[in-house]
Amino acid sequence: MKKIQRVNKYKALLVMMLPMVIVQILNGYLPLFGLTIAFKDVDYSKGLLGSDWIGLKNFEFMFASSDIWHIIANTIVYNLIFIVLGMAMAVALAIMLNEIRNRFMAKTYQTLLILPYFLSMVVVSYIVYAFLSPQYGFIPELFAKLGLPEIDWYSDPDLWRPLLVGIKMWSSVGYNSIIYLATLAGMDTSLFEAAMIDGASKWQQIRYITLPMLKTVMTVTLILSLGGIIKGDFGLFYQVPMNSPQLYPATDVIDTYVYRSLTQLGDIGMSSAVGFMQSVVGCILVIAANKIVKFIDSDQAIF
Amino acid sequence: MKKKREINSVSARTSVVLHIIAIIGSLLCVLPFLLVIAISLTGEESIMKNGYQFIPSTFSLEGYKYIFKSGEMLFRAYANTILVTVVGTVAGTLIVALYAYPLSRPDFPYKKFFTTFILILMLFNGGFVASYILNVRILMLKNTFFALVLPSLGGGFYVFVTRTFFQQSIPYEIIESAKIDGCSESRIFLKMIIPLSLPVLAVNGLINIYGFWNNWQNCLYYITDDKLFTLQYVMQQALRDMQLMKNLAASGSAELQLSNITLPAESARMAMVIVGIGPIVAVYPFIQKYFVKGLTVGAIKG
Amino acid sequence: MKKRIIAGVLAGVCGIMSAGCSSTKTAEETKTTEYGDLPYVELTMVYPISANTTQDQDMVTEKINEYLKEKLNCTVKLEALDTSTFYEKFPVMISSSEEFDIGWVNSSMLLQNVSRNAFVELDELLDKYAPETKELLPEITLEGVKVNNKLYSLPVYKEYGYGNSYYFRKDIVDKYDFDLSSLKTMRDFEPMLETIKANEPELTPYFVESGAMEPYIPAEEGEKYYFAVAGLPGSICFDPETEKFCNRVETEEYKNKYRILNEWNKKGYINKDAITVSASFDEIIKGNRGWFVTTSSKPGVEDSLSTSVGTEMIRGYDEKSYVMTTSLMGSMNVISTTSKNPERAMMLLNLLYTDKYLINLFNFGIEGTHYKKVDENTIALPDGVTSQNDTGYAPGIDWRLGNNYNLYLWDYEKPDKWEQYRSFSENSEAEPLLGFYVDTANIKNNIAAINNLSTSYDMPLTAGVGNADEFISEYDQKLKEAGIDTIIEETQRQYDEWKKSK
Repeated sequence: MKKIQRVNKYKALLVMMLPMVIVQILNGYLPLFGLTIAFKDVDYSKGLLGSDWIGLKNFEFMFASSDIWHIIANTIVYNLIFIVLGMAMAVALAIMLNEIRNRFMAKTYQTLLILPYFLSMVVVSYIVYAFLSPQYGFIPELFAKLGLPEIDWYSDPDLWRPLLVGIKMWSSVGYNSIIYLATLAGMDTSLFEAAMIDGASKWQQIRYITLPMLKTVMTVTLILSLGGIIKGDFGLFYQVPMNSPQLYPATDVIDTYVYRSLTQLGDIGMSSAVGFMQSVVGCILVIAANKIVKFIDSDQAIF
Repeated sequence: MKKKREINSVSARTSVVLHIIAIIGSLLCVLPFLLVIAISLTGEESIMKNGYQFIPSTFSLEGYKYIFKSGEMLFRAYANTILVTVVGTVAGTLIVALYAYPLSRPDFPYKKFFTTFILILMLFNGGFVASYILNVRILMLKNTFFALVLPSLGGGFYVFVTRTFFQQSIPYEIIESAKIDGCSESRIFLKMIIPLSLPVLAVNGLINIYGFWNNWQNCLYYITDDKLFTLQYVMQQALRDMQLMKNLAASGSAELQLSNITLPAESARMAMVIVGIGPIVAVYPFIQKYFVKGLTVGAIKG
Repeated sequence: MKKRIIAGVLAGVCGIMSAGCSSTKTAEETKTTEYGDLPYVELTMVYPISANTTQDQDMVTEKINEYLKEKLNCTVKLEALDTSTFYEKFPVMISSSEEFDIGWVNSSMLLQNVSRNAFVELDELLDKYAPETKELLPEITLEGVKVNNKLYSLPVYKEYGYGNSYYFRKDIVDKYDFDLSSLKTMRDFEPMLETIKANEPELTPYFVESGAMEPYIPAEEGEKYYFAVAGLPGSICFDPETEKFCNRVETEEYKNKYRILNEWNKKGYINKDAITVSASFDEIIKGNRGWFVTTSSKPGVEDSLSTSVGTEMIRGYDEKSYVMTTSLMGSMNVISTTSKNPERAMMLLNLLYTDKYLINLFNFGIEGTHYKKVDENTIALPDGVTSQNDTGYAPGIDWRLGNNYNLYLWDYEKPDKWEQYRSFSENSEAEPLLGFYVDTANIKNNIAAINNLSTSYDMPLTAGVGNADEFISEYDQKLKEAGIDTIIEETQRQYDEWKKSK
């Protein structure tokens, strides 16, 4: 009885949530049956649901080669750098743009900084190639003019670790800073006024008011991005280095490795197995991260 | 109040440093774009011979001519994309806000359930084939307008961002006092929450606009009727076909013996980038105005 | 302009509004045809076409249906997808068991999906509903596309031998008086490469690009020829003399080939961007990067190639052409297990092979609109049109459906094109593995691992970078770790069984 009363009390709020619930059921929950493909020997004449179960056989291929551990490590390290550095740069950029008083200039910078987001990784790969190609590249030509030693960019993996991080930052920071800009815009300005009257410097205001304001959004972003920790951005790692085999030590991540292994075989069970594994690892990390956050500051945890 | 804010700003020296950093960053972002524009205006032969150049050695509009060749088809695709973007953005932004708002209310008792409900889907998905089966064989969305919108709705991440914004920027007390004054929940949402959360709604809107505008996969898989083709799909497809054609060019197939023309592959590719994103980049400055300060509760309360 | 935009917008809106309600189907009625009493059915066909050249598809489809209604009391729904779309969409259609009747596949699509029961077995249907086609198709082609001795697909009837040839720029060959007829081994290339290196600074003597194939010409005289195995990575090969499968990377022939490429790279014959650059023949020749290209040795390629790259190309060193499983499987039609009317689908396929009117309608469109007839078998573009792409119907499906030998010839094509194709095919020898298919169910993990290795080693070796001997021994080592021996063993076992059953 009490339960019904409670539902009644929040009826309006529940109705508000309904459209999203429907969308999620259609887009997300119903297709979840696809998860079973990872454990099946697919036979199209029996349909996906009717196919025979084969246990973990679809997962085996991933661990058939000893290279996999190196590749998993690659994927995780890149993602950690992307998450931490990406967030630091996006927050710094948002605060910086927020402090630029000339609103016209600030808006212009914002608009320009977001441009790279619109270039697909394929186009980015052509641009990068234009700069680095051993035949026509601007940089090799410049090096030659300056009499600097010749570098073959597409065969030296060590150059690509920083390069890939740089390209990722370049393409995403402007876009990611939008969220922080919006949060800053929603801040209560009276706090700053009070701080100023109390004689706080600009840096102190940022340190003690702005950053704590952004902390919640940062924590949410951090926890949720851990969900994708062993997923690799395929375009970035495959297309941008032009799939150059000599760069694999630096550019190989799970998604590119699996792609190269499975394109010939075209096995839907095996590719589903990879996705399943990535989800499970992501899920564990998100729960763990949330637990840790809860332990430190229970207000910040997301669930 | 405006004056006070002017006083509370960084020193002139810091300001110069900030501008310099921002200018360098902006240049880094703009230069590749200028390169794209330059390539789109370069003659194909010259690209083959000299590679990409910032200043075209031969000027040509072939790339643009090639993509505008399909004239009416392109305009229709533009129209479809605009419609999809508008409908998708309104729907996408609204459902996220409607879902995030109850989650932000401290008194809402089902928070945990509805949070987990979203979170599970952010971690697990059934894969594309499963979605395809559902959309095509059960919901019968093939060749319908909904196929261009529905599969892209409902970003979980933005539910959390929006919820956080509501929690931080709209104190519960004012909601409570409004309730005591006899306001209904829907009225509170429409008259208080929405006006107070324009910045985050703008972010959601922007992200939806970009998402729907750039999406071509929905069209690739769910649409075969060319009346429903979207801009990005038409471009993608022309581009990839052009590449395939070039690769086949010598295989001796009859159709290709007639095409004694150089397909402007490179310049057309870049021209497509420009034609495809031009209008959408122009949207950003209009959305930016919602990122301004002073719309906060503090200002209203004061 | 403004009007055009508004019209476009309106058309778009109307399109979206009306797309929801599809037209109602004609009532099912049975009709007596030359194949007996047949109830009316609609068949769906899925195949790839070239882009943006089929504005008049609806008009042609209507004509096709008019004819088919008469012949088979059926109509077709054509899912003629743009080539690039097809390759992404068709696999999804198959994996989601979406209903269709006839589809176009290549070898990998066939092999990937046959083991998953995506396609109907055709032996019986062929006997019963398409005896003319069975008569028509050379036995070797039907045998060659069988999987486990069962027929799942009908090969498009066209030329069926496969070999490669080098095509050289004639002006360069003439300028330096190269003797292409003496070209027999990779070593014979060397004086030419040397000359180009010394005299043509713009040209790369031996241009390699990221999709390049390895040289098919033997490295040195008297080398053994190994055969590739359909469905397995290239590092597994078959020795026809001993009838044993082996690790190709360990053969002398393989090592020689890459040592020479390695030498060439060191001498500066190969372009620096070999691994990363991707270039079509157009780009290689028109862009003045290379002076020869490698592609199929079938008749007439030099003509179409010359037209497409804009300068005369001549061939040198034709590889011996074989009838191979992979080449036979290059273009086939299948019937889906989701089809409700496989019999009628087979009848339709039969018409595509035997009915001259129908296949030409599919391929060239409507007479008088999309082409005009010059004589019985020759056609020309309609007056005032300069390219087939401008006629409104140029699907480019000549090699994807039915029977090539029933097609009209364009007035600019050689009148003996089909005779040339026939004699080319008949002069091709059957490869020893023709019709052999490896069931990969138990060795999938090894294959995945080896496919991955191929992508790491093949290209650097072909570009001749680094030290070939070191690369090869490292490659060999990794192949062993990835289980190449397991694959060889399993393949050998299956081969011996297959041989016995024959």
